[in-house]
Amino acid sequence: MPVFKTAYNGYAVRFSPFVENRLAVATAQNFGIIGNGRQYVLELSPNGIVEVVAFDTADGLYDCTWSEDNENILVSASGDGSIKVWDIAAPPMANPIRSLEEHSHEVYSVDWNAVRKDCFLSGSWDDTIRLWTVDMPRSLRVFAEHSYCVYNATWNPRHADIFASASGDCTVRIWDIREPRSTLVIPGHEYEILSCDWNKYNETMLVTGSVDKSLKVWDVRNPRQEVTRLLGHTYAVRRAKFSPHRENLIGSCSYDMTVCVWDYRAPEDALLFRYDHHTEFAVGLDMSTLVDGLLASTAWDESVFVWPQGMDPRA
Amino acid sequence: MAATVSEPFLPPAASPTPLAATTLPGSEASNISEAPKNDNWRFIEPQPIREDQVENAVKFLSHPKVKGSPIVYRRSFLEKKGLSREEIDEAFRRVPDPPSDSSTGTLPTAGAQSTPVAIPKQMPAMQPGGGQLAVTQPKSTSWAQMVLALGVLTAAGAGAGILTKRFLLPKFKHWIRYVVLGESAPVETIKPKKLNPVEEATAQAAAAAAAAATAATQMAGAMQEIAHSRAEDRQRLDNIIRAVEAQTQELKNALAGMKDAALSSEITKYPRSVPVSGQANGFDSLDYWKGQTNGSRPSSASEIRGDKAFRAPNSASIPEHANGSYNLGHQARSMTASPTSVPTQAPHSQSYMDPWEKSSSEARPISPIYNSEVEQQPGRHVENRNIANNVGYNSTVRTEAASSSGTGGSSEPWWRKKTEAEVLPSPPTVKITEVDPVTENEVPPVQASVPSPAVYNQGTRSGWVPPSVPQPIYPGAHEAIRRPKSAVGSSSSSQFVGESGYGSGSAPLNSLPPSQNGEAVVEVPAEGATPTEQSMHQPEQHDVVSVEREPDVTETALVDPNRTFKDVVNED
Repeated sequence: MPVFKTAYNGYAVRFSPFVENRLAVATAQNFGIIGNGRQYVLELSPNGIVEVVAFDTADGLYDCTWSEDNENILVSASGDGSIKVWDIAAPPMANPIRSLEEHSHEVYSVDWNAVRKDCFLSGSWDDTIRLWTVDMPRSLRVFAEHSYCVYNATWNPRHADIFASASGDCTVRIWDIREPRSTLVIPGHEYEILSCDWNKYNETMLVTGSVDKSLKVWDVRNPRQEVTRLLGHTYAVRRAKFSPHRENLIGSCSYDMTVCVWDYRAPEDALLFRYDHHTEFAVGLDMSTLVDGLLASTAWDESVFVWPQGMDPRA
Repeated sequence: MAATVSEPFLPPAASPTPLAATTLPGSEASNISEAPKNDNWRFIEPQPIREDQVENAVKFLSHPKVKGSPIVYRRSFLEKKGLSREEIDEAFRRVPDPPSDSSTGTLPTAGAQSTPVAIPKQMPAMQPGGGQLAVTQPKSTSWAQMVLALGVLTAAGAGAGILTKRFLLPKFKHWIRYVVLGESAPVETIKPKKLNPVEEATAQAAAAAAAAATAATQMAGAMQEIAHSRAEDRQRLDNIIRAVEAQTQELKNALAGMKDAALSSEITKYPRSVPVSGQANGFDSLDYWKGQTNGSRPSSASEIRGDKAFRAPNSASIPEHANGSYNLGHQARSMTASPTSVPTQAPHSQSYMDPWEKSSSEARPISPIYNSEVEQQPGRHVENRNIANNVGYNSTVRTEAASSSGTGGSSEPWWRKKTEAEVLPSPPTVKITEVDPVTENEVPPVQASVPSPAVYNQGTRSGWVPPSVPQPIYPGAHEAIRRPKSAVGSSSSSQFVGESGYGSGSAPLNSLPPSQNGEAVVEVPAEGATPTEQSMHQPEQHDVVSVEREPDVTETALVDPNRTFKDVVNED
């Protein structure tokens, strides 16, 4: 499987929902501590992974997401608190087409609404989550209930108004954008929760990945007790994602430099695959919605791997 | 369905799956019909308030320490404890005093304020530890006290130091003198006054003289030692020099002997040369050699260079000449390896072996390639052709199999390619034929299960391609292969990997019809070339050994790919 070497340390990777061989990679210089950032758009070709376009930013980029209603729009979360909107069909001089600056701290997560397709969320280290559309220069809503950094905010794949947020205050909150306050608070872990994701086939199921090295699968109808707990990582779980093709598969990447694929319904042997191809913290993971089983991961070792699920990413 | 959904505290076992199975298409419809809003997500129902939790929360909020903390921290603490929103709201409602917004309060521990995560953890700590505030108070006032105490201490220390310097030390000195000299004071008080100047001087002079004498003796001793060591060094140096000279002498002798030996052996190598009757040095033989062919050779035959120059115009001996020169070099190398043995062996005639045999035996282990090259050239070519053809044949078969799947698969980009391992890592399907279990791994690639070799081929295409496996040309290989053995099974799996790289890596070459292959197989052993994986030919003596070993070699190395198409084509 080919590998792409980015110039900076990788932070996030996302497959395009329109083009099956296109993906975006958000990278930051110096491990994201200080320095510039770059937003890559890569293409999978028979010759390997090719760079289509790359945008440079003044601060590191921590996350990116594709627009669901326009195949050329790409949104990046930047470390200076701004959100950059790119149009890859526009000439490079015109990019970024928008810079949305309202957060007071690093924006760590952006997610586009897949149901209503017109708005996106940004989660920031200033403890707030903001709701945006590309047209408006100001955010539509502010959700400020967390007491520590928001690490991840993800929309429910079936309900246009529901989203979940994972925070460093060790809780996961379920929000309804029509309500002023959060709907549910799940004190999920004893340590910071770095990532959460919804099950694409079961709208009440969530997975959370935490600093306590475990993933927990939750049912929001019974938030006091997790459905299952997935152990196997040896360091903090950085990202957890439900597979868009299989109801029971969860992919996770961790600071132990591995990417694991789990089947949460297996009573034992939940861990199906373990990919050890990275040589630094594995921080970015995505599972393609257009190609069944296609995984992409990026890490602080400046590499991006794309591989089908059963194969060796380094082969 | 709506009724079941609205029940919040269903046991966990019952709630998830049946609801999940049925709710998705129907829930929205029912919800739309029931709820005013579209697509209303009714899964999170307001949970009933647990009274015990609310009471605990009220107690928590009523605590004076908690009263001073910001609301956010209190709320987050209660949330972390697992209280629902309604319970938290109820607890806040019940607490009589409205919570104040003074964030700092009386807590001087600023460190806790800066880390909001630490605050909820500190709040339970504050509840049991009631004396923390009391502890903090003396801290704030003790700073000044500590400063004062330090100042006083430094002043005291300084004063004490000054005092000791001025008053105490002289007293101490007096006391020491008294102790040391005071006991002898009654004796020396009278005499030393008179005798001191003179006797002291004389005593000093005597002491000085004694010291000088001792020093002189020590110096003398040291000088002697130096002289001794120098002498020893000189002796050692002499020994070393002598040893080195001896060695150089030996080397010179060895070289001379080697020259002689080389010359003599060279001369004896060529059949048409007169057999060397063994000379003490090679000069005579060289002269004889000279005398045989041309007389133009200069008489100084001690230089090998000259010999070579002499031999150059001799065109008939050029190939052997080249070999000979190589052999000379090799023999020279072998000679240097054993300098001690050379002087004894240099006179070839004195060795019991025939010079021809001796030289050839020496030459063979050293440079078998060149010797055998001359002899076995045609056989080697045949073998090469065989190997190449077999390889080509194999590769054509493989590439056909691979390409048929590859063309089907090439339209599939690599990121769409799937393996059986996607579901479970399992080996390709096994087809058991009647011949023996060896064929299990070979039949699929050739016959039917096309995707698996395609997978492996394409998977390995970008990676490492294992080298192509050579053929057992020895006719006994077929029987050896047919004999089912346990070793076969273990090696067959590894062979399969080799097989896959085989088909994708090797280029198609001329493929001889199988009959010719068989003939070639028959021919080669007759010519004495070893047809095993070793590309290097081995001389005749080794042939005997290798022939015996061959069945084992072919069995273990079991060239399964060879076996497949040979089996298919040469259906015996």
